[in-house]
Amino acid sequence: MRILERVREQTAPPEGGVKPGFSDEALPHMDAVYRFALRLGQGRESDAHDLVQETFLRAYRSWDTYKRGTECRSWLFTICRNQFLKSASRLSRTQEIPTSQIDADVESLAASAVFSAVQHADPEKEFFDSFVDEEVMAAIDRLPDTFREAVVLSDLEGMGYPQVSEVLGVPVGTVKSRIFRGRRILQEALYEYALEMGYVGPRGQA
Amino acid sequence: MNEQKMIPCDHVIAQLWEYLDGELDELRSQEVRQHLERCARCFPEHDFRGAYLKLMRRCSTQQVPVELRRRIFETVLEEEHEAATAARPASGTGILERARFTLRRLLCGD
Ligand SMILES: [Zn+2]
Repeated sequence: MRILERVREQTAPPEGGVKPGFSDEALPHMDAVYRFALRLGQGRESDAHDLVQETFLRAYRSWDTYKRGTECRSWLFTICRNQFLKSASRLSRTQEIPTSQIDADVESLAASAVFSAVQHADPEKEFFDSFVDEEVMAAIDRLPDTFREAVVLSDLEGMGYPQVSEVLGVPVGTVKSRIFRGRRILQEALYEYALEMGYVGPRGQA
Repeated sequence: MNEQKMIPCDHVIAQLWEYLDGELDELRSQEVRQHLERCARCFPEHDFRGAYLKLMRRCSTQQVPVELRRRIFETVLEEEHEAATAARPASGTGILERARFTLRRLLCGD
């Protein structure tokens, strides 16, 4: 197959209707794009379906602009996100937070507050084991847009800071601030939820 | 190890996410690691944040529903067919790629 494709690449006229490499490089990321689309749209299934379909259609049409050898997944995420931001159904993106003013180090220090609270409430140290996937996804979906997309790319999809920076089009420093702040909000939300559900006892009387 | 070489707890906590994310350079990473090995205050927090990251990885398992997968393959096939007939009506070079595509589609369990 590879050989055939290489031959085709060398012989086919550039204005041809077929896009060599698309099925091998782009289509395997369908699951990842679907997960990203789902979280961008806060879990709305049908929105995610339309968004993923639109993403692959656009990707196919602009396949010539994809630089071979770069990470195809990042490229697809970027298309997906741009499409999401453009979509008419997206009436109000939650208020833009000036994250450039958030200091990443300060955020990392601030995360300790959640840890101390949980440590007091849950001496078993198995706090995060008590959640099922749906509960975590629901908590992620309630994050403000700015932090949600950063946390999803980093923590759910396992992307490094430079990759996230590429997809979001912001500097690495801003990416760090957004990820760290997002993680803190998310952990606080999970802690509140765990208290409500009785997964952990109230502070000081676990 | 020299006691004076230990970086303070604040510095460790400030860099803890970057350490866990594998984004510190070797020197800084080593400083944090050495501190964590000996500090009973910072180590539990390292474990706690590590458990958070593990939970997040564990949750990321959703796959494209079969119906949507089919829709995407069909969209791309249509698009390809249109482009191919518009650009090169008499040419047969698109057939190969289309055949590969169809095969992949079958292999994907559609
Ligand atoms: Zn310490």
